[in-house]
Amino acid sequence: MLALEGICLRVEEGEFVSIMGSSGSGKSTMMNILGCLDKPTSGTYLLDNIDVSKMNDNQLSEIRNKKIGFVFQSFNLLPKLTSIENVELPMVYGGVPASQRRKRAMEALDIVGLTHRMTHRPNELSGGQRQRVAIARAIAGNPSIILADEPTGNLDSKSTIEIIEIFQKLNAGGATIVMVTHEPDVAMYTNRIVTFKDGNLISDKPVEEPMIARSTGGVVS
Amino acid sequence: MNLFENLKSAFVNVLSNKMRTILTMLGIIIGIASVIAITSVGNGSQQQITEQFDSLGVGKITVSLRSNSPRNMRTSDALTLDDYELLKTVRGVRYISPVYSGSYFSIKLLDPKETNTASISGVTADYQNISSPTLLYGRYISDSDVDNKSSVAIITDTTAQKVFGYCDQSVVGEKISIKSWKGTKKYTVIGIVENTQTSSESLTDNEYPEEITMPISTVQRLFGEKTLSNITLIAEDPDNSEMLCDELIAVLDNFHNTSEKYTAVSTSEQLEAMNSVTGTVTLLISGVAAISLIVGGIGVMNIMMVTVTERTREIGIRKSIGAKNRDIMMQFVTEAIILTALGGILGIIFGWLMGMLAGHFMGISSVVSIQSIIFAVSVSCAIGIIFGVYPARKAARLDPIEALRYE
Repeated sequence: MLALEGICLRVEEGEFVSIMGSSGSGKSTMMNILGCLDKPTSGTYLLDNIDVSKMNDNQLSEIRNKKIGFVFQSFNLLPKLTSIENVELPMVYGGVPASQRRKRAMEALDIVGLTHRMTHRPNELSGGQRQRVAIARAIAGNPSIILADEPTGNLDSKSTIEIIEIFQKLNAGGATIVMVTHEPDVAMYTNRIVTFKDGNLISDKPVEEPMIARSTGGVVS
Repeated sequence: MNLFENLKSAFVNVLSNKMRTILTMLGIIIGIASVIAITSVGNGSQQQITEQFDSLGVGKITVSLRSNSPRNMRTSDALTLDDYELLKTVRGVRYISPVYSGSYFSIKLLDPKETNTASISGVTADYQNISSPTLLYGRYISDSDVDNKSSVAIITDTTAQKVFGYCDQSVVGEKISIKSWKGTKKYTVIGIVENTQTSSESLTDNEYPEEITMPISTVQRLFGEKTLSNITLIAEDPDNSEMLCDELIAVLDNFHNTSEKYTAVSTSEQLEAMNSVTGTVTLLISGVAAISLIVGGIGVMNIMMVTVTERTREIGIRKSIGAKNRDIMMQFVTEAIILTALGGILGIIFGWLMGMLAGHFMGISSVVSIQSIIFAVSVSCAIGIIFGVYPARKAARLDPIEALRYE
């Protein structure tokens, strides 16, 4: 059985794309391939004009480290590390010197408005705050693309708006973002909606007038 | 990920579950501690043996009749003063003395009803240079004492205490009584030497005989013997004592017209023999103790397997953000090494204490050598690597997608 078949998708630099579809539609497999966690059995995947579909495990790790920023539904922060340590972790594997690492992690935490929580561990943060740390971790390495897999799935509506607002802000700054979601409301905040069904891409439409996320209290909470 | 980052993160993880860490390390601690304790006591006893031999004299050689062939033993084979005179002329002999010793008689103590066995040795003036006793009062046996068969004796300070109740200059010139089957004979004390046997410290303890030294001629008359127990000598060159031994045996065999009837044992040879025995025993017991190290290693492996399973999700997260298989592998091997190395260090401390305690009860000063510490640390690190690699490989090979899904 094929999870995905005959998919042709092109994401331009600076786009904010949402991928929609019911469970079993193949959107998770799509995300795994885009995230270089999985390799397509056939076909090619060009990331920054580099063919990554034939790379080995180590090369893929390198690509994930340098070019991709992940944001997961369940945050996936390491519980024993503080916020700033979690943000620094990809750069630790990337071999960035300690002083530079700390500086870039601070900047990333500043963008998501959490510098005042940098020494807190994930269990001392709210769900929204955890996701903001995860976003900081994703952007700290300055990746080519940010992949968000149901980033608001575990959050209340207030936090959802906060997270979307950060994504829009990042997108406005030039970041390329691909976000999986099954909530049409959330997808309306992006520029383009790609829909999967039974392993096929069934629709690919731009959003005429994307909604602008504006959290009431601002992101700094 | 560099080594420092790796160590830091491994320490955080190892210390985050203290109880488990301590229980896992326990096997390693016990193993290393017992090896260290045993080797330290073994080293201590070896050192003690060496010291005792050193006090006996470096390059000391004892020549005697081989005792394992009594069947074809002839009376003419026995060592006599003639042999002594003969060996005196051998080149390379520095000091030489005939020795006759016997413990058949007893000495009267302070309490008129009490006696103790007297271990009497007959020697010549040269024996002072061979056994180098610490002379407290008086003088040693002289050549004229030997020539005149003088009724003189050297006693130890403990014997003086037991016989006279005190030990000072005034004991010199006093008389001791030796009871033999021929009756009691009195001997004038001419000198008092220090008792080198630490074990007979107690004055009321008559477990050990009283050591008495007399001129060889006097002793031979007392025992009615013309033979010698042995001939003791010091080589000019202690490093060459093996060759001298062979020569002495050849001279005696030639003189008595025998073959290999005599033995000559140097202290260095005896020391080697004793040290090889203690060394073997130490090695054997350490080997048994080392088995617990293997058991400890299996414990480490077991807990690392559990850790890898528990942290499957963490491994997935780390891989998704760019950790290579090698990074994950190193992380878990480092944790295993930290477990065993910490266990090894604690084991050294406990083993050192155990060795001190055991040494205290055995009357030995335990010696923890640098070699045994290096050995313990490297063995425990090696255990960490050997038993840590398999779980770490398992972790490194996890599929990131599967690992991220793990609850």
